[in-house]
Amino acid sequence: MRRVFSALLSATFVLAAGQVPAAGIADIGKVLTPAPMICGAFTQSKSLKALARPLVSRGRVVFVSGTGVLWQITSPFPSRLLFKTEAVIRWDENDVPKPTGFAQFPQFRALSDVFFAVFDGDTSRLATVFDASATVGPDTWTLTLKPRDKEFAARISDIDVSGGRYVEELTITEGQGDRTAIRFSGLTADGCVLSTAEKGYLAY
Amino acid sequence: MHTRLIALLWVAALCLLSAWLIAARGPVVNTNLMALLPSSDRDPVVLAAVDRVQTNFARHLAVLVGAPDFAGAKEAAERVATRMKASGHFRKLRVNDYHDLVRHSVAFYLPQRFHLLGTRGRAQLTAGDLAGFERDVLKRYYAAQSTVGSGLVDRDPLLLLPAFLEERTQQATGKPELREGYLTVREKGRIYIALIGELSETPFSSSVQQALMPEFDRLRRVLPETVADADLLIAGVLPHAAAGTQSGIDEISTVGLGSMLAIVILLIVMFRSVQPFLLTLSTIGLGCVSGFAACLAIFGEVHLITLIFGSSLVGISVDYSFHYFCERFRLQDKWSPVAARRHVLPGITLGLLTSGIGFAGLFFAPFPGMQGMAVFSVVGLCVAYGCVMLCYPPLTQRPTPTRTVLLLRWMERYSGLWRRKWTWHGYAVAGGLVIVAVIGCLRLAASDDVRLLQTPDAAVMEEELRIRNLIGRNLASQFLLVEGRDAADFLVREEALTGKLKQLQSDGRLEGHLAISDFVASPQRRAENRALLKRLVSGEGSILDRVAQRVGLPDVTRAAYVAAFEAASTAPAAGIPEWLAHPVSEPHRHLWLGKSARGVVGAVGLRGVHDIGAIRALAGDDPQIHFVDPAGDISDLFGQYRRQTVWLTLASYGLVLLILILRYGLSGGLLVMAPPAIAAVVSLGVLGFVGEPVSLFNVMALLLVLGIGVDYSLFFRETGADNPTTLLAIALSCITTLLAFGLLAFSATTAIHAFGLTVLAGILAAFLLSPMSGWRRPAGG
Repeated sequence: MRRVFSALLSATFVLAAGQVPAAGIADIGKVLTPAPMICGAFTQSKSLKALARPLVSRGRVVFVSGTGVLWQITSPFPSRLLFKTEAVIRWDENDVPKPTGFAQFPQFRALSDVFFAVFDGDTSRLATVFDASATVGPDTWTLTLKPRDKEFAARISDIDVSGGRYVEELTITEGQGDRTAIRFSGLTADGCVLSTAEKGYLAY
Repeated sequence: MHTRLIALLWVAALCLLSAWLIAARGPVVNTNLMALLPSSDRDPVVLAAVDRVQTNFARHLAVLVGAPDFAGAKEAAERVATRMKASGHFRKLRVNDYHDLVRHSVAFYLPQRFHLLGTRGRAQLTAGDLAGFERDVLKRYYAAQSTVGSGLVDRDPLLLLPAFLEERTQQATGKPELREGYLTVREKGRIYIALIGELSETPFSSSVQQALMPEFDRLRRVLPETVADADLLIAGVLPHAAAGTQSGIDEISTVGLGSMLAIVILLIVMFRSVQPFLLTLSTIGLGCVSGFAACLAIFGEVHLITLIFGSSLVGISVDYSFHYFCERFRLQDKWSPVAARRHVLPGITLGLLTSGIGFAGLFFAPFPGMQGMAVFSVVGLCVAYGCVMLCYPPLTQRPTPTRTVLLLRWMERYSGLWRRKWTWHGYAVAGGLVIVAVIGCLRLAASDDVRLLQTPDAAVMEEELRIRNLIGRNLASQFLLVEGRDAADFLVREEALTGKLKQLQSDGRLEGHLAISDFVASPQRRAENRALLKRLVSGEGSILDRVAQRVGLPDVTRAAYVAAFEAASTAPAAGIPEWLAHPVSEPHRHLWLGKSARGVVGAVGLRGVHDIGAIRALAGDDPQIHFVDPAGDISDLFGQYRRQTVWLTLASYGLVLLILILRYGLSGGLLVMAPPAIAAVVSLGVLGFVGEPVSLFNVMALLLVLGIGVDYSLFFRETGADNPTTLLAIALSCITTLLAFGLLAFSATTAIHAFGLTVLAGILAAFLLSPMSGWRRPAGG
């Protein structure tokens, strides 16, 4: 009996030890390049099992280190979100900002964590919230994240991120089998020109 | 021997009676400053509802435990929770059983999706803006990181549920997020776990305060030892109440100790003997204990403020002792206890009568705490009077050796100034006081602010603000009550009210509201919503068709939805009881106040009230709606009672004047009344001079100025204007009173401070003017 117990106990330790950052994660930093500002275009394609075809929207993303990620959808329906570390701000059609806590939107919290990690070039901190596994090549990397929180995992089963110098693709697979794929294009750290409006939104 | 027996019986009887009364009730001391206030004149149903809201509010305590990371915060929070549970003072403590509100909302509202409409959607459909409604639905499909999933689209292709829930979560603007069942908030580099406890007793109970506050202080100290950089924040009524009690206790000790020390030094220095000191101390002590017992017997509890003021009031019985013992200076070798008693009897008796009238005036004040003070002080004074009359002569048979002291010589010189009428000295004193009074009175302003009674402790307030910022919730202290015959009637009335509130919100006069009817629709509203929605799903080219085509919704799904919509018409709807029983209502359940004598009552919370008049007007139109503004109500009461108390005080002064005229004739009575009356004006003048507003508490203090001041003049009237031993006794009494109330003027509680300052100025003026009441009497009495 005692032996069974101690076996269980050591198994727990092994499991606990498994929660340290996977070896590969730190290596992503060798490829992924952090920058004070990154901007570019994205295409979001949401495939719901309930619908015959994916819902596709396009827009522009601007990341400013220490400030936030401005997520602007330009088509088919313009909308705007600003991810901050502690909240997400949505602008309504009258351009009135509506700050929302992450309480009711754990998917925002996950995205915020992932965005800040990949844009800041520090993916290893994701290991505190997710079970992470990574493969890193000379110029590319992929990262698979599974939420540790049970309630959260019931909604988002995993997040796959891949890229090179910058993040290129992000796929969120939900518990029900729906998938949202975000493809980034033309991300750049140097040629970012922000409009006055964008500066205003980022300054929220 | 006979007189000794009477004295012994008097003391023994009082001690036994008091001990019995105190033992029967238990020494219940209430520290809730608000308990001093009269209940407002609202009707009982509203009062009961307000009481439920406030009791519920007062019992809740938010404890935030923070650390640099979640694991640390979790460990620290569990430690704190264990200690809180072990204290036995919490009826409920929520640590990590927070449910996923979204999941519960979906479970509760999904079956209602065929009549679910948010405010915006309802407005669009009512106005016939179908295009706007369609656009909103599509936007929801395409929104960045939307909550829309297959499970939902299958059952609710018009996305009515997320539209509704989005509005509801906008209303609950809390920032906390769930993590492993814990309620957490993040701040730069830190994570806090919120523990929400409900006390099993009122936070104003001193046993709760004494058990919990030191424990929290200890946890603040030891937490960082086990979890690196951990900290603890508390918000709720408890820390405020505890800080209030602490300052109350500190003030009692300061005031009590200060005046006691002054009395000890004065008596020992003056009389070169411990006996007068011991007798005086026992007299005041017995007076206070009797007063305390009488209050317990009548009111069932004694308020802390009653105890502070009452003890000070009983403290003026030290006058009786002073007059008795000061006779030694006058009679020297011819002194005998019986002669001394005979000499001071008329003065002391009249003094008791007039002070009694002055203090009894407090009984007619509508404040329960003030009534307590009246009982406490009148009983205490009568007991002290009895002690002096019955116990002093048999216990002070042998006169102790006395010497003329320095103070007595000063008194001789001062009373000499008043020997003749209208010397320039009298003019100088009176003129100086009049100038102060006139200038000051011209600058007087009234204040009825609730902060008179509650000056929040700065440290407690700062912590509360931090928690408010962290949690991001800022409910107004005002709220509305809605009455209804039954739950359905209640919902209809509340919906009508929230409709008007939304109008105020769009006008910017209100930031938000929280009402049950936002979460549970009335049967009428459900029927209306269904009728509006029916137009969206039926017929060719309906909104449902258009949306289905645009997003690629399969025909089967669409047909199934329409069939379900038709079938749902007879589905039982969820009302208030179902909502209350479901975990979805957890954050808002407190709004429901249940049955009343007339039906049912519920509360509507308000956020960011910018136009209080507009909201008050909503309630003014409708007898079923009540606007409650606790702070405003108290200020109104303060103002109302300040005006009432002014009349009460004037009546007291008039009554005392009448008694004095009956004894001394018209001019004599006016002369005796003049010093306390002038003193009252002077003390008002001083308030104006230093820029203090006049509140109820200043007016109350004028009653004390009358009670004590009239004592001073009476003795002069009885003994003559230039009697230095009378002036000495009065001076001794004045010094002790000034010390006691002078210290009150330093109180952190504005009300006590105001009381102290008024008495300070008034008593000093009454003392300086008191010899004038002895005019027209031959010197030496």
